[in-house]
Amino acid sequence: MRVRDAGPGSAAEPAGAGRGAAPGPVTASGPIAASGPGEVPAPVAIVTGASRGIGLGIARRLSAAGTRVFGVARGPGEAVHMQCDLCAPGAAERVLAAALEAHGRVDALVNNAGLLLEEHCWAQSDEDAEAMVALNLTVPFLLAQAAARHWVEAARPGTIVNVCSVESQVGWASPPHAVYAATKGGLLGLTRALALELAPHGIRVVAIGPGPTTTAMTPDVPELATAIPLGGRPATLEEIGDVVAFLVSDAARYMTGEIVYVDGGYLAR
Amino acid sequence: MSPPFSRRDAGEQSLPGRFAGQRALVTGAASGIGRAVARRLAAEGATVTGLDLDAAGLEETFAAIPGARHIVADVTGVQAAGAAAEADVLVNAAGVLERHDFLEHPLEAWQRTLAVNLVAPQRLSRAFARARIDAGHPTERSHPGAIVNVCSIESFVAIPGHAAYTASKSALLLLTRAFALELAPHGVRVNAVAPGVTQTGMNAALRADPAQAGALRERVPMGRFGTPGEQAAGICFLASPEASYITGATLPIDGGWLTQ
Repeated sequence: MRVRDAGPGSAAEPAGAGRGAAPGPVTASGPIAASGPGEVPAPVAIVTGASRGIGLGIARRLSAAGTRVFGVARGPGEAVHMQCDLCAPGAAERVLAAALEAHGRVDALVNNAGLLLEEHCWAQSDEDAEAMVALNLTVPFLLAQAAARHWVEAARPGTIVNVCSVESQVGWASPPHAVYAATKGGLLGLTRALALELAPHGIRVVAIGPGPTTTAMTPDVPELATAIPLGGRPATLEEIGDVVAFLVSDAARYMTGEIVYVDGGYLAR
Repeated sequence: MSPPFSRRDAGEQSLPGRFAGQRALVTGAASGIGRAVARRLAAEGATVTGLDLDAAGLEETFAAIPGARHIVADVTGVQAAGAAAEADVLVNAAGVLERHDFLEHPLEAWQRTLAVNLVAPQRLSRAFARARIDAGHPTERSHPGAIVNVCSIESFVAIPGHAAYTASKSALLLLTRAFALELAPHGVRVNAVAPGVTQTGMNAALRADPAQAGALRERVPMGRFGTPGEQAAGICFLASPEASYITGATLPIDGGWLTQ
């Protein structure tokens, strides 16, 4: 069994890691804009899984837009401000408290941390399945609950972005990871459920669904890239970060309960 | 106002012999949709095993079906998985719905819901698939094997107060598609139904309250609730050879709920 911290929906490695890419926030089309026209970025955002991959990309992009990012991950990293095991009891409350202590406020929560354990559907162990359900479903549930309780109590609006996947919509047979797809489908359902329940409180809950995204591992799977209509390549981390920056900004203020797929046309095939 | 169009008996006429020689495992067979499926599969010739924690309910389900096997066990346990490994048809009908405002939602309720509605179908489907594959090439097996999961309209849309249920049923939708994709080369079909509001114990209290029942009924384009038999009709179709080219599909049986 191969183990990755992330699937097509949440890349495991920073863009260009080990491949000589220029550091810093540069996209294929030029430098990152601080924010789009008329966009007001979220002042403070919690980003989980911020040590690498899509989480690091989101943290960098939000920081470039002027958001103070409170990054959370198990390991250290340039965007990590709190190291913790999100599956530990009480972790959600501790993360929220630490972010509030650091910045005095929290405006957005990006549930990005995820776990992908590849295995055939007829062979995946209970332990592996439980670990994915815990990190991909229960942790977002608990973090969303902690953040929403805070926002309702403080009578403040807030935004939650759940990092789903194209696998919130379709399966992925090779390499196989059916349980991962189920957890990402569940996260989309949770997005809709919380959007309905929290709308009266002015809290938006949306999702982003990345397809294959640039990581150190994607070049190993060339047929995967050719399946992408737009450019025949995976997304860069910046291309995912740009959409998250939009979703947490006031420019997306009428959006809730939606998933935005950022997949280069993968699901349109 | 004219009475709502209704042919609810039409969906409950069994097709004798459709499952002759097949072994079926139905979870949640002590009540509701699971009971209706178990009875219909038996009426159509299957040797049915019903699994539920409710022993008395299982007795009632199979009162007129002497050959049926009863298993009183937890749906996530090894006994259930063992039964799945021996079946030609697996119907994952066991499900729980706990209503909680999200802000007060207990973690325990979330975990119970995921265990029954997501983890149990995953474990049973895993055992079923492994046994099918071990049994050899699909053409060499007497029955290729079919799984039907009971999803929900909440696999597609949410209902407030149902955070855990909505998440679990949305997860089950993708479990259905991903298992279908991976098992297609092995001849095992995996499908689901997505029931709308159906007359079962899960929503009995809601339907007993005239004001709530009326408001709920008004949201159904067909103007009435579904019956367990109407769900069983769709489930048995998907499990049967008539659906031999259908896999990864989720059939809404919802009186039109998802059209709006």
